[in-house]
Amino acid sequence: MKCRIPALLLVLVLAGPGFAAERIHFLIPGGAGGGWDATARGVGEALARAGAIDASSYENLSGGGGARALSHLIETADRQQNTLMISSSPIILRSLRKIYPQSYHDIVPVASVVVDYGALVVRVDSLYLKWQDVVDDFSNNPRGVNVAGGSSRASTDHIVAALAFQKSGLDARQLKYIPYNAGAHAMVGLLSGETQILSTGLSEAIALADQGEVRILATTAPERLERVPDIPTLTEQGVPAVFSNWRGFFAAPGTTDTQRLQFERILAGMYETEEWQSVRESRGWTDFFVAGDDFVAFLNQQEQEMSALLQELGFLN
Amino acid sequence: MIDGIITGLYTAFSPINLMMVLLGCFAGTFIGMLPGLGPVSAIALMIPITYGLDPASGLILIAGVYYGAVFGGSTSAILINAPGVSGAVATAFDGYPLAQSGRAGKALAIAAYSSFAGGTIGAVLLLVFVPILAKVSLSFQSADYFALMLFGCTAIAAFSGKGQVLKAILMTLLGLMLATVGEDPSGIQRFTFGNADLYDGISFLLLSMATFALAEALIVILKNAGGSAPASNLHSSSLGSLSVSREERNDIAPAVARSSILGFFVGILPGAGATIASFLAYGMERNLAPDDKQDEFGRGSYRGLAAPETANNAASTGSFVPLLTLGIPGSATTAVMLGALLSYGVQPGPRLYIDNPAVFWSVIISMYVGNIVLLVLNLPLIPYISKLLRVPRQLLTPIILFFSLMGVYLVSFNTVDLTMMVVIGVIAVVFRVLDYPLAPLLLGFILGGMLEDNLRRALLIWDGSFAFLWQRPITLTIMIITLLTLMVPMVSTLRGGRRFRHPDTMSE
Amino acid sequence: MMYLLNNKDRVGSLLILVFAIVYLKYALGLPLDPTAGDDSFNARTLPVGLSIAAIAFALLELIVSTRRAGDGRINAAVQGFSWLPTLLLVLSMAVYAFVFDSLGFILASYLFLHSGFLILGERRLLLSATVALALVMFLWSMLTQAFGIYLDSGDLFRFLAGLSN
Repeated sequence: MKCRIPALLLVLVLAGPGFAAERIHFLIPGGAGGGWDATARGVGEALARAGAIDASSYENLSGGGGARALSHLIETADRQQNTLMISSSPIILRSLRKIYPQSYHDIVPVASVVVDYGALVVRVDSLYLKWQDVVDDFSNNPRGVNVAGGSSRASTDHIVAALAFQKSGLDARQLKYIPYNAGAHAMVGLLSGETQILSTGLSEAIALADQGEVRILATTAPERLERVPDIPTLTEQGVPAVFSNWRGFFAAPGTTDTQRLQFERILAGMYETEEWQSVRESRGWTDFFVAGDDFVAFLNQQEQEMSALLQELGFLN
Repeated sequence: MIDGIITGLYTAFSPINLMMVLLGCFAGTFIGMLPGLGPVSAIALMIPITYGLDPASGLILIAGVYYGAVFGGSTSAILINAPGVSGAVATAFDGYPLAQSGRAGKALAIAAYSSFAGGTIGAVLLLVFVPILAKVSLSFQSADYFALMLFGCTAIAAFSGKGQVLKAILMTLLGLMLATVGEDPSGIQRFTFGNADLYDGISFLLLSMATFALAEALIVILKNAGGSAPASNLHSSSLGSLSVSREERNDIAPAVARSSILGFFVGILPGAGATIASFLAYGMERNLAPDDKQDEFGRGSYRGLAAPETANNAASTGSFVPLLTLGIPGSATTAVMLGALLSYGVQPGPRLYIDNPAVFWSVIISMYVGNIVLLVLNLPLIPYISKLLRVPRQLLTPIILFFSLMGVYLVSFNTVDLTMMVVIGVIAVVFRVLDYPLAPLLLGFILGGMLEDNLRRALLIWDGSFAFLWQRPITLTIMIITLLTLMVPMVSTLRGGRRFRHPDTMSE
Repeated sequence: MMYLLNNKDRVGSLLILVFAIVYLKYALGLPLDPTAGDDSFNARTLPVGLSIAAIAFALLELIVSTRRAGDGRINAAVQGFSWLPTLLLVLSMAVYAFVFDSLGFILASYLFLHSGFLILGERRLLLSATVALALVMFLWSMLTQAFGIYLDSGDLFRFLAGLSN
């Protein structure tokens, strides 16, 4: 999808002039210092410093694992014309599990900006050298493979691991998932030896893999990434498990097409700026610009896949 | 290594960087005094501001903000019984009673000296042991953390004197029960009644502001007919005095030494951290104190103030071990610190120490410089800060209430939390009137979540068997220490069993 | 009955007892993860254990406390309490929470502080107004201008100014 950006940019730039980008109000469903917060502020700072917008403000509205911000955006839609809410894959999972009373269908998807892929990680001294080793071990003794993750059951890390096991032809219900309350603690769980595999975000794992602390067995990316060409995907190991944890922006319901296109244009222009490139470098993010109808189609597809998986795991009836 | 240390020192003491650290300490102290804005938000708010600076200056500014915010948190805990971060809860246990008895300046000074000592001893330990510490960080598993949290609960013994044992246990259980509200590790909503405001559970700040700051402010009004004068003993001229006598220093020093070592090693463990360290140090010092000093704990003991303050800061220094040597942030504070480091292009991890010792040491030294500057900057300010208590009661109380409410609002931006806080505050006042201690409630609440998480993980990993209790040496050791700690006060309670028939007059 | 309840320890343990029973009732109704299968420790285990322990200890305290006399009396403890200002303060906090979203931070906080000063007997109106206004404005400007924290301006302000966000 990345290759489409230049063409898209060209179109947007040609159609561009004449739009005065006033200000953007970023609605962040989590507290200061979290992942959503960092992305929204990173995007906002880059846009402001590049002069694409005049001003930006950030509203941290945590609560209900993101449900409060979503309801807020819907309830106060008539005064949120300048608002972009940041969200990510969990919005789909949590809506499916009815933790959120609403879903992305109730708001206006604008564009996804960055992506992280799932990573399956082992200690450097692990006997697992490739994904197949895990599959073999699990087939012999499912209770002997402890999989750590930084979120509760049926959340992203669990889902990524379950997807990998399911697509390897195993019974994902038998997966022994050990939940920690943060990715960092799950990493400690792996390194301390109490779990054998860690399911986490690739960007979190790369830093430690670079330092020789852990080995990444496989990612859920569709193909190998430019930044880490040595890390194999599950797909190429014969397991068609692809999962993209996107982070993107949504506008309030009732947002006009003109306004939505303007948001889209502003965001599309961001990738060219030096400011963005330095933010992205330091944070280890991967660009992932999918906007408009493509974004909606992408969301629908992910929702379908997640729904099927949750159903098979028994989290949905 | 020496080269790295010298380069680090050289960078840290350049005029511009000293300016930065001064600025940071000042801003940090102010931010930290507002209950809702602890070290985490202080650093998160500073990152965009420091963006244009060169990495060394930026880091040093952040270090100043960090130590300033930690000290600011202790200040509000001591002066108005408002511990805005969980690491400052144990500081309020004895710091607030000290301030109330007209020794606010002294309490703040002891807090500043202890934090400094904790930070310094922590930094020395870091310097000497850094190559082997990473292994220590990874030696604890969930079963061991479970035992450690259980051990942390023994700190409630400090509130169980004089026929209060059952009440302290009941309040701890109440705290543990409140901690179960929200989503559990298996993804199930507990006690949320379908209300999205409860999904994330009750926030620590809400509970601590309601049961400590708000309840205390209301009790004062309830008991003192709201006269226009401040509480009488606050007139004493020693309110702002910093002087600590030689005798007192000798009394505190061993506690500081023990607590900094304990704090540092607990801080190294990514799953424990500064809060646990402060509780453990508090409990340890009370158990070690001679009988006559033991009763002072919770009513204004110098040791009881120095121990958690020291441990808290030594643990904060210790928490840089997993961050810098493994690249793993063990706490919310080190997580946001990692974000700051990354934005300056510093990737912590084992390679940082080997490939780039200059950066490694300049991070540590800039943290340490923050510690020094804070002491130098704050000691002269303490007399002025403590005069806050001279503000007439009819003005001070509404201001305290306002700051507690604002603090809670700034965490969630949710007015439902404010309503919940008022309700819990009123319930807390009822328990205060009934002489039920509230500190065990908060302690149980803080430890409850970690206790359950670790126990459930341990049981999952051990396939439902409790064998880890005797098969893991670390778990077994901590469990034995816990049992011993529990036995000692129980034996003395049994010896003093007659107290049930002749209860002491209400001591608080 | 009233005589029996006139004891601080007993009333406290009774309150916890009632809470623990209600909590236990809900704990027993907690949903279980259908996929967790044979996990011995589930979402109910700890809550049920805690509430049973709390019930046991509360009953114990109820029994033990009957042996104590004298100082535990509630009416003695609350003698001389100034109820009115305390109740008014609690009320003003509740009102503050209630009107915060509509009046916005500045106005709601100002009113709360000023009424707090009044309730506690501060009669110098000018002083109260100055202190309250200065504090609120200082905090507001620090939070919004220096730290860039977004504070909602409130429905009233929006209505008057006809602004969005």
